[in-house]
Amino acid sequence: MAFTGKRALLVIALLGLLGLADVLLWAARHAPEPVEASGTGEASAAEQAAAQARWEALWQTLAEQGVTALAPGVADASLQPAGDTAFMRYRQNWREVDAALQRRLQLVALANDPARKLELLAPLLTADVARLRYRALLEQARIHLRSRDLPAARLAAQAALAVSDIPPLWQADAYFMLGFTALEAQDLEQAATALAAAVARDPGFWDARQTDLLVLTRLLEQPNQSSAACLDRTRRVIEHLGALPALAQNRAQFRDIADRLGEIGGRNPALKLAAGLGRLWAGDTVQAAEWLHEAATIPGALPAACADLIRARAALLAGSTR
Amino acid sequence: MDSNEADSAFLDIAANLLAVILIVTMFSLLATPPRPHSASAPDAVTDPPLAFQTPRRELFPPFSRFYFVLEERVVRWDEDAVLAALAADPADSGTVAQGRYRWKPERLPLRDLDTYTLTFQPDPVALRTQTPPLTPEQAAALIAQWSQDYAHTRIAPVFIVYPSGMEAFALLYPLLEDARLRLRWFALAENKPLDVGRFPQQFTDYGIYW
Repeated sequence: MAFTGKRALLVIALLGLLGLADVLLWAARHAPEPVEASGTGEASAAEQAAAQARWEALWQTLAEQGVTALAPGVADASLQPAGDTAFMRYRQNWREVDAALQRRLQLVALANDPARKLELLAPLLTADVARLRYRALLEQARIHLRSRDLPAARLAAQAALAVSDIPPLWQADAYFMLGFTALEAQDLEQAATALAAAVARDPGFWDARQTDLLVLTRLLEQPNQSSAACLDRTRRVIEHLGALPALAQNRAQFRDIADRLGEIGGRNPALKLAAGLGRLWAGDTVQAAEWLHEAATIPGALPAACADLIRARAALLAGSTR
Repeated sequence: MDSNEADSAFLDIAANLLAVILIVTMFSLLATPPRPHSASAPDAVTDPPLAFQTPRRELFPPFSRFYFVLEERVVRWDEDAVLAALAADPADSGTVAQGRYRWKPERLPLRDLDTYTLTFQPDPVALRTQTPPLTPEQAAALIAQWSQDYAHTRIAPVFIVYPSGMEAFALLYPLLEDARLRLRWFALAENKPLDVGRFPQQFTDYGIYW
């Protein structure tokens, strides 16, 4: 068959379309980084520098001391701090307590009807002893949260925090309830702030760390976050990943949490980095290498400065697994 | 003429080859790399498809309303009677209409201030007298009530099922499932008491979780 002009044009057009398709596919795989969240130039630069310093400090600590550096210090190594209040998680919180007031609080615990609970609790809300008053307000907030009355729960938790001379460890519960309330109301920023306060006051607070991990993973998936926020959130995810298995006294948690992050991370470099790190700490270098390589190469939708640091760290860790 | 045919053949081959290269490139960009299935230890078993999920305790669980299931009856535990008795009498044990209770408070608050346990021994004769055998109509009414209780106040039923009540519960359970009710149930041996309380094991024993 002769190679006519028409045929030549047809072939050239077809080749051109195929070439265009290849170029478009290549461009999609290497999509440009999203625009960083707006902020004043100087404030953003200072925040970024501070966040980066904290990021580098984390890796410096891990390099020097390993993952055990992230395990919260516990006063009693034989105790697994599990409980819904600081008083349940730790021992010897109370000294002399009025027996009648204690019995009343126990009857509140026995009652299962929320209205009955609140009725029994009422006299304790104005107790003279500040710590008892705090415990009663905390219980009031808890009852409201169990009833899913978020505004009442928030008010009670705030009232608890307003009681003076309360140890920071005890205050962690009130901050946790504020964080949980904000999470239920879908206010992730407020939730993250309150939960960070809870963890800062009680590093052994399992529930607060788990909930904060959930909030941080959601925040990392949101668009328009600043690089500083992205870095801080990723760092806190990694800190929780290092702390939770120690609190549970169960190293298998490294893998469980990593797998969860791997599932929900999708194509998010920050979560893939954490997932790879979890597998690495669990001893599975093969899966760790795969996820760390993904973290180092997938485009994701994180701010540029944050993504660059995450990918660089992931590449370094991926190289160390070989 | 021969030269034209040769040129045409060459162009055909080149064009076809370039098309093949472009198509292969396109598919290679679309394809994802195969996922390796291996573990760090050569003899290790590959990742199982179903991982053991640690049961998650609900952080702010619903309130529990206890029901004894025995001898074809579903009887609500009259907790208010026990509360009233404890509030009125400082003694740690007593009797109410449904049975006997023994209150074991934590006198030295080693953990939380409200730590306690309570043992309630139901009186089967009293429960039999209090409530008639469950009928289908009553079951439907109860299920409607439980749904309403949960929706309005987050109170969920907890069934304490004795051997004599297992048949009745077996008939009730599918109805509870159909109603998608939030519930728990525990089987107890004959004449065993109900133990309730607030203690540290509630946060480490999966069997007690909501």
